[in-house]
Amino acid sequence: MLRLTNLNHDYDGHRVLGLKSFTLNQGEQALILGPSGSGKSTLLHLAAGVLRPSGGEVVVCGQSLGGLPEAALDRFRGRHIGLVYQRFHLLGALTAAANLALAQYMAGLPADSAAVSRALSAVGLQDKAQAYPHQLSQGQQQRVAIARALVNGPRLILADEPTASLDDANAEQVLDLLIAQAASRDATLLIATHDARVSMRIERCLELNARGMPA
Amino acid sequence: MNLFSLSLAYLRTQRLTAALNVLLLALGVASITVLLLLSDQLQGNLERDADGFDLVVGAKGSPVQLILSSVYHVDIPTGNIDLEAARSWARHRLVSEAIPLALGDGFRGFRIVGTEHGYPESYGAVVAEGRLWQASLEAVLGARVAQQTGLAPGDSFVGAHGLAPGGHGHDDNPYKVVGILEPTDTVLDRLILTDVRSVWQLHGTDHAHHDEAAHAEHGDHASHDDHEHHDGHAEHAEHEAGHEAQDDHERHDDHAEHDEHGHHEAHQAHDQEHHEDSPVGHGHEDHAPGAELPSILAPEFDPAGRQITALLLKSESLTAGTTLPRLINSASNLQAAAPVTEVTRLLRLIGFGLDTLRAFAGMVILAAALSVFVALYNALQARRFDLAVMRSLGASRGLLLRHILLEGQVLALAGVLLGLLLGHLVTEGIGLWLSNAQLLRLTGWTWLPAEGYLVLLGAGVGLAAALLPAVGAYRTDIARTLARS
Repeated sequence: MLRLTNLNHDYDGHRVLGLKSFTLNQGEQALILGPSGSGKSTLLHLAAGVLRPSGGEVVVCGQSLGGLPEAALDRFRGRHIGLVYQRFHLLGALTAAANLALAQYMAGLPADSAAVSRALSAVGLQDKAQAYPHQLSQGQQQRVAIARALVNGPRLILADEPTASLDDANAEQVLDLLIAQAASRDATLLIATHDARVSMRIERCLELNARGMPA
Repeated sequence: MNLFSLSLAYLRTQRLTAALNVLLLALGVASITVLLLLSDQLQGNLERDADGFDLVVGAKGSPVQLILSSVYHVDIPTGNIDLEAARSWARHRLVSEAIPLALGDGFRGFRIVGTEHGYPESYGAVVAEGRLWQASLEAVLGARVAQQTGLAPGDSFVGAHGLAPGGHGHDDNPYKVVGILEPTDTVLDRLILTDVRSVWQLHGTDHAHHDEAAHAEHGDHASHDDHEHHDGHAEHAEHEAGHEAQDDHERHDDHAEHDEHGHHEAHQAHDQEHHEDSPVGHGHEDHAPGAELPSILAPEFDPAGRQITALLLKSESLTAGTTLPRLINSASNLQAAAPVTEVTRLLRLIGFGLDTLRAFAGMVILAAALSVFVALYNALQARRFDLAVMRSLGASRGLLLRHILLEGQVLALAGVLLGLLLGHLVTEGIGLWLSNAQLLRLTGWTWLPAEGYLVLLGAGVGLAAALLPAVGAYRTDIARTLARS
């Protein structure tokens, strides 16, 4: 369901990523490991269609992202791909619930407050729906971000260092949520990390070296 | 969630900046609104008050002063003219209608105008209560006069020299209110109308020894020095002009007792009026009951020694409007002035001032536009990550462009609406303030088509200010921005 073929990406004339083939089946969970600068984020951005590759193909749910025009790609991403970042992911001007509603709106989906409530309940923050990000702890913010990534029922969840800014307890909780929610929705989960706490939880992993090649 | 609530949410986080920008824009828009309303209503007022009168004939002097005093009733008269001379022009073949005016007295700041029924009729005035005057010393009040003085038909009041309250009174000859006019939204609303004979009666023009030479020389103010003991210069001037009609000033000064002089004149006038057309004398047999007194411009009326302040003329044709003044100005020691010409001249003078103010208001709006631009541009830097997140959530470049443009529009529209509201409130405030000065009837509760352009201007300002930031948002490189976090 996620298929990367002959994928490579150049940045400022340097190859930052070169990947012959990588495939994840629907519902499968995997890690991308590697030192900082090994192209983990680039790989996620390419998979999310946030970045166009210098060469190769990205196929998500049978759809080749390279074949989509820009606006259609944005819409496809909004509906089928959930993204979680390390931090700064919530819009500070909006409440937790509004951040989720924004994801629906941006994806061109009808407003569905029941789905918002369900997603917030799933991360245990239904009582924080009207709280603004600055009123939440870092762990809570990351859980809201996960809820936002889940709210549109994505088939692919991509997380970029989701636990890096969190203490052990919060990291554990966030990781539990990601793994459990992805599994319960049969969504494919790909986490880029260099956090050892994460690597113990998911078996399959793609390790990249400093030149962006599989190690 | 939609783009509008999203933009509002962001403006809320920047409350102070947003409020200041809205206020700045509002001040510019308000200034322009006030200027628009002011110039439109000023022009409207001036034109409506002069509507129908092609020419004003009065004593030699400043034509603007003649128009201001006889049409708008804001300045002191240029002097007086002999009824006999005026009447010959009233009957000129190019003149279709002539209305005499005798000025000089006032009541609580409202001017008492001796005239004929044709005057209120030219303004299309309708009697709201009572009737028009039918005898000397009967008065009809303009709507504002009635409202502010509280006088009603049947009440009496005593006129005083000049416009300022507290001048010499004509205590022996009170006016009797017989009617009140409906509001006309013209100068008529703040006038007290009566027959010319009332003014004569109070000012005793019937003195036999009438010195014409002293009046013809309006510029001769030699006697002013002798009048120093009058209180207040403005009131003095009003008094002076009003009195040109009555008598020559040297004679006044013979009566050393000033308190007595009005009294004295009134007595004399009263005596004489009794023998002429006083309502209580046999005069009223001259005309049918319920009708207007016979016109003083009619050939039957003896003009000997009588004076009026001005003559309002309506001419037969457009060409007459240009021929007549030349004729009058050259063939007599009278002055003819066309309200249209003088009003245009006045408005041109005022126009320069308004243009300057408008330029200032324009600069305020420009400053507001710059300020909105800076605010949006700074906000954009702070929001780069948010914009990238929106893109990753599925927002297209176009949506971000519209999001920032909308934010500029929301600010601009808020500024324009607040500005319009402020402008109308301020105009109404000026109107209320000026209602005491009686110069200009101004209201904030009207809407001008030009204000629609202000809304467009505001939208343009919002667009211009938001364009660059919006393009910046459009160009957000998601991957690079997210990677930088």
